[in-house]
Amino acid sequence: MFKKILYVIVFTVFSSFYALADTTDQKWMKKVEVTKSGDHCVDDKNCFNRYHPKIPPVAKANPGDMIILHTRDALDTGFRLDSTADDLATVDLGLVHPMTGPVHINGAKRGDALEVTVIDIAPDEYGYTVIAPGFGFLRDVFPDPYIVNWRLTRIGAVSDGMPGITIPYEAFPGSIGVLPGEPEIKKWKSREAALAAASGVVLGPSTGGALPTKVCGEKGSHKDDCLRTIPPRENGGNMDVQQQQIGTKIIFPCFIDGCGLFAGDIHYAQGDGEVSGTAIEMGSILTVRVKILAGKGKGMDMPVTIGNDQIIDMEPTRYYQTLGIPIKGKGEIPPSHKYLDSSALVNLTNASEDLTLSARHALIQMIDYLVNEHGLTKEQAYILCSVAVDLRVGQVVDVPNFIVTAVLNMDVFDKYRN
Amino acid sequence: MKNNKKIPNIIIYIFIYLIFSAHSPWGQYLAYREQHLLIMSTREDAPTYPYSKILVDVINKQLPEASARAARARTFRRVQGLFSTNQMPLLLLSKKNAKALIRGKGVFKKFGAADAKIIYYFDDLVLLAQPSFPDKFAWLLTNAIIKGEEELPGATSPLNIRKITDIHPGTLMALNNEKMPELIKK
Repeated sequence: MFKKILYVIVFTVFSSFYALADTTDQKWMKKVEVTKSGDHCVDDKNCFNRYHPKIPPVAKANPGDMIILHTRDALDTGFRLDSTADDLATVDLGLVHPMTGPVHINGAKRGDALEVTVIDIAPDEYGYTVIAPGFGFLRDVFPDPYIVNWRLTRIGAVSDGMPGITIPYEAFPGSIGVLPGEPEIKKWKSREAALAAASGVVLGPSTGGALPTKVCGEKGSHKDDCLRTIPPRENGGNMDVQQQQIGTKIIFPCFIDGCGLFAGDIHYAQGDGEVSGTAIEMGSILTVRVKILAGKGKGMDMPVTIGNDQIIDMEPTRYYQTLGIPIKGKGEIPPSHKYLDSSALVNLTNASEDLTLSARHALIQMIDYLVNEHGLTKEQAYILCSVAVDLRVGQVVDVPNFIVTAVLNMDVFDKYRN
Repeated sequence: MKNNKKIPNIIIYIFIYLIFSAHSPWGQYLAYREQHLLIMSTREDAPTYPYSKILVDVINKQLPEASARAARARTFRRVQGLFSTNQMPLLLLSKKNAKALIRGKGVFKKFGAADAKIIYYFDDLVLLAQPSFPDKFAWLLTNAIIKGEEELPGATSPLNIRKITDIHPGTLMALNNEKMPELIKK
């Protein structure tokens, strides 16, 4: 009899442990999932690559919902682990950037602000960094295409093209934002057209590859007003700010009812500057949660980011830093300065209060350091700078030589870790 | 055929040509496409990429000003998009797929037809050009291929194949030993 009681007790205790051990049936999140379909944005009703308020929402979500966005890589390429520079030449830049959404946020009005918390980013297994011809901060120095293919896990990105280097996982949305309203389209188009007239680098509305075709394509209802996604603007978009890490909150002014939240172009890791023009680009599953801040959008110029210790977690434990001042070669006009009347600048070897030239100076020294001291090729060094070197402003007072520094996280070298 | 000394700077012409003809929405990318004669191939037509690299080597030997490079598209859709919008005016395909492109059938049925002119054959492969590709460039390119023919397996002049009607006019002039035409934008 005693034995039987003992069996019952043991069975009861173990069966209760069994029940407690399985937690997967416990749910509290309300999820709104926007998935991908097809190989490219054009195959996918949840994807678009231009901005306009008439782009219809593909989903609706309430504040507090977990909004899960399946995103594509920045260039909508289909690159793979064996891709080469020859593949890069056939990128169709009309397809940049494929965005997932827009998601209508129930209850949000024009004039509100939308607080977006980055909850999680699940990376694809593959990512790439490229030197795109004619693009990037040193496009005059690096005119030819180059690609590094990365194998990604959440503990680091490694590549056969970058032996001895592991890039830490510091993912963030390269592009995230809300749709502009009609007044914003008019204002931004106008200011960009004025800049284009002054020979600035401006990408006006273009229908080649534009999505959704019904709104932005060649016969689209608003084809002349669909803005390209390359420049970040007051609605966010392609901000490429690496501090917008998992756990941070990004606040956007809302320009249309429902805000029209979107994201894409997720970066596995990036240095401040993204100097080659690309970070470690990847597809991903991004999870965010939103809160409406009633009326708070009216006073906002641009999005803001609020974080805690994320910015500290990203700091290197050891580093090498170069310092740049605004000096240049006599007769040289860097690409960034060609749009203005450069006659005063061309023969100077020292410019005044010029952070762009200071950054260029610091970056070129860093590339030289990586080549001379670590045996990288110039292209590998430029790529490494794009994903792991931070350009930072040292000071903006010591005229004429403002300082920008380039800070390399030395932990990326396997020889210095473990 | 022996006008090499008189060949003007082809890069300048390609620059002018692309500035006026390319539909690439990202103007900066032209910086690269201006500087190189790009021969497009695709992963989906397997023999085209390795052969395009042989072709590029021969062109660069015979016509270094062209600064030719291989450019591999992942899919037929990308090929159709880049070729039909003139972002990439030269394309190497197998004959079956070249016909499909021109007719908008087969593998190109979903993406639409694209008009094309023939520059040269290499066994089962065919080098196509956009109809707007200037006669002068086609003439120069054809001459470079003829001069390097021994290094190009299966190279066959379009004139040696019967019933060919879609030869590029510049190629025809080169094959007929006519002098190099002036540059005319089409």
